[in-house]
Amino acid sequence: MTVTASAQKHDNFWPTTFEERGAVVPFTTPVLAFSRVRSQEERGLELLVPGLAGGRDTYVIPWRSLPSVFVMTVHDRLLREQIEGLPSSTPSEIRHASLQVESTGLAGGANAQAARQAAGDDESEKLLTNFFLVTEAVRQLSNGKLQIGPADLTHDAGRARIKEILTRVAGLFKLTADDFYARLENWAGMVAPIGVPGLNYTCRLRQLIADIAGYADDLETWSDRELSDVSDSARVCVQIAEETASSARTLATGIDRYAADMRGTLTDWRTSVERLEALMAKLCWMLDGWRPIVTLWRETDTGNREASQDAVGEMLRLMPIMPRREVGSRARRTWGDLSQSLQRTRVKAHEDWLSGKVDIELVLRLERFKAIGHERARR
Amino acid sequence: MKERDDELTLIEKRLSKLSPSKFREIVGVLEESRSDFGGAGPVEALMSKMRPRLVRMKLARKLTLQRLFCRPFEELLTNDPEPRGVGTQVTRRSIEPCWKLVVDRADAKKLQRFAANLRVCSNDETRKIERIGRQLWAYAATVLRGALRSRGGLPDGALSGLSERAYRDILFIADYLEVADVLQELKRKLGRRPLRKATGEHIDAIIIALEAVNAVNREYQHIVIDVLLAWLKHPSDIVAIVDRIAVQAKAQIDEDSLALAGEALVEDVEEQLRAVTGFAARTSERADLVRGLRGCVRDVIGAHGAFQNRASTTAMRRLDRIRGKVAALVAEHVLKDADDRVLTALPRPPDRSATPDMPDVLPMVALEAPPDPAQVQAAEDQAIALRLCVKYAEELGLGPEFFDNVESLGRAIEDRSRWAAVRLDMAAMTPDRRDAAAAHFYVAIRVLELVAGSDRADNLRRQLMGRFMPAAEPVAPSAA
Repeated sequence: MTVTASAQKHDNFWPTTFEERGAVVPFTTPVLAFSRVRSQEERGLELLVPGLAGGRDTYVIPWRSLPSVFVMTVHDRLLREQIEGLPSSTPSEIRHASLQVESTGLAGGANAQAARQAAGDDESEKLLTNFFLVTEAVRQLSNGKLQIGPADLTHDAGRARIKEILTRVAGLFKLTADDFYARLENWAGMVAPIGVPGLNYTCRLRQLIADIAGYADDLETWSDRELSDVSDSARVCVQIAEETASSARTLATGIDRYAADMRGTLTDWRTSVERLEALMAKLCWMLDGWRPIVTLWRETDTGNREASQDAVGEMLRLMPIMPRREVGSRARRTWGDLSQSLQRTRVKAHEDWLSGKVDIELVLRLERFKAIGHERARR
Repeated sequence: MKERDDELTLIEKRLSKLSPSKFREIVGVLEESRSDFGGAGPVEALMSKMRPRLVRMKLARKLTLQRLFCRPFEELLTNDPEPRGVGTQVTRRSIEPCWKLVVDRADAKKLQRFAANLRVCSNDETRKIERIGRQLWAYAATVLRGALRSRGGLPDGALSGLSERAYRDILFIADYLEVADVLQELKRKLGRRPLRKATGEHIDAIIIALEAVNAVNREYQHIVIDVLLAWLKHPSDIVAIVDRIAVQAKAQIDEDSLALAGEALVEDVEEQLRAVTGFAARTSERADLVRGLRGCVRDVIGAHGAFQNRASTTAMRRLDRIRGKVAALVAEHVLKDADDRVLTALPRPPDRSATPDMPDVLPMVALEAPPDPAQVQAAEDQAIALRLCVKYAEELGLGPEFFDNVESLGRAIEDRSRWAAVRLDMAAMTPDRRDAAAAHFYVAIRVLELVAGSDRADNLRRQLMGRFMPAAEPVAPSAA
């Protein structure tokens, strides 16, 4: 396999912004697995492939050249076309496109089912968050004097009561009940992936933050009993995971604060929406690329030392490092050190992974990871 | 007794909820209160309940005298009560009776002295521990040898209660312990398990070990081979290794040991084949069966290569027989009915030769309902099984038959899909029916990709799916 002359190579790649880092594309072609897409003003879309030649460099390949450079699975060819037609290549847009393609069954029947289930779960999260925000708004804005519950939705009298209550509450902001409801619906649409505190359901991104923290704990336990150099590599992954989980928790707390003060949020609605959008976008970027890592480690038989070491090698290649400008000045030093450590400790990934051949077992493994990655925790 | 079991179960549940650090702490306290010489007290009962988590966490356990006793042959231990296959393995069930025999027959004061010396060692005092180990192994070998010495050909009372397996294992352990220090040194030089490739240094270390073992008893050469078989990533490498030793140090390896390596290898492949044959009878998942067969095929091919320089016609004949059986398994469980399993998920044009007036309506009506998930799964499974076999078809002597099958299957998938595509009246279809028809075509593309590769499948996608664009939104599952 050769990379076209138009491909570029980055040494010690530490991106400045999330957009420069790119969003993970869940390709199933092994050599392209977990690579990232980004949009550059002059060059258009391009794919960043870490460790393509088994080394430490990140290769940048023009999006349009992909089919001529690699033998891609049909799933990936369709996904590439879909992403090309997207207005922007953010993690949320890529996820949506990926679910569309997966639901065709091109990555297997199990994957199609998982994608459809994930799309359904997204909808459920939106509905639940929306209903919670409505009930919470009524409770907070009436100082606890008024309450509505799911039972009210089941009969006409209850629905009339809800409408009457919403009209009263909406009046506080000089809004109609419909406009007031539309604001809450809009809010729910924005924050549904993380949900709101008090919701009796752990939404996707909140679960992911918990899973990243759990991943850090598990990997640390493993590295404590691993005597080879790979334990150092594992500790770098642990540190990156801990830092990411901590930053993501801070962001989530910021998002949750808006639900804790609904009067303030709704009074200064325009500013609140802008801030919530920015916080959610940052959170999505920050957590982008972590689900496959968590899944990869969960699926590794830690009793098999060789497999575990290979997994650590793969994870090092995929570690999402926080971009320079996205962290505060104090954290920049930590992330700078982590970025350096990552470059120093990268171990050679499994040969088959990067051989350029479409190894069907590796493709099936990636498809399985995708399906597992869509599963929500049992609640 | 039941009450105690209930309590233990309750404790087990609580233990599983503890944090790793707390769990580690409790293990430490329990280990401290255990008897040096094993037994079946409440601490042991509790430890047995904790074992699954102990294994998962792989905690560094406190080194007891019994654990030190087992250390030289720990790589040969297996949970299987009746281990068969490559090399000698010792079932864990034999440890308790063997250790009991040592404790019953040994000088108690001497054992207590070993235990006291071990207790004061910290885990990182490896040299000190190894020194105590060498003394213990040599002493235990003498004790076991004495216990096993039969009077008038019959074993004494303590041994007569042992199972056949335990008795054989104790005989093996007694032999092993006589050369334990040699094997510990060999293991150190071989490095971490598994050994991917034996270098010149490894061969030198093996020759040195054989020299030392020969000085004790030439019949113990098989123990070196047993250890090597446990160490190698690919047991089939053993034949090449003993061949190299025969060239470099012929005096150190007997003809019996050379033959043993080959025998052990063939036995291992036969054992694998037996397991896969049993699995084939139980499963309908063809891809999983091929995955099971893979190790077997790889070893047969590896063994063939290894035996090429040998004049062992028996071993070669056995290998050929194994290869024939593997090929028969593939023919019966992968190739047979392959077309039906894949094509059932796709629309079938009516057979004009049998019934010339048969209209196209029925197959096209079938496209209006979503594909049957069970049929899709069976088709995918079959296609994956075929794809996984590609690498081995030639080696198994199934080349032409296999590749003809794959080629005709690929053509049939393309023909059927194209036939259906030209008959679709898109304008007359509701969105639901269009989505259902598209889902059928995606199944065809997917199985074609698995059978014939991505390029050919993508060509079919371009031909079929242009009419369906844009791609369907993912549909949330219904409440049912």
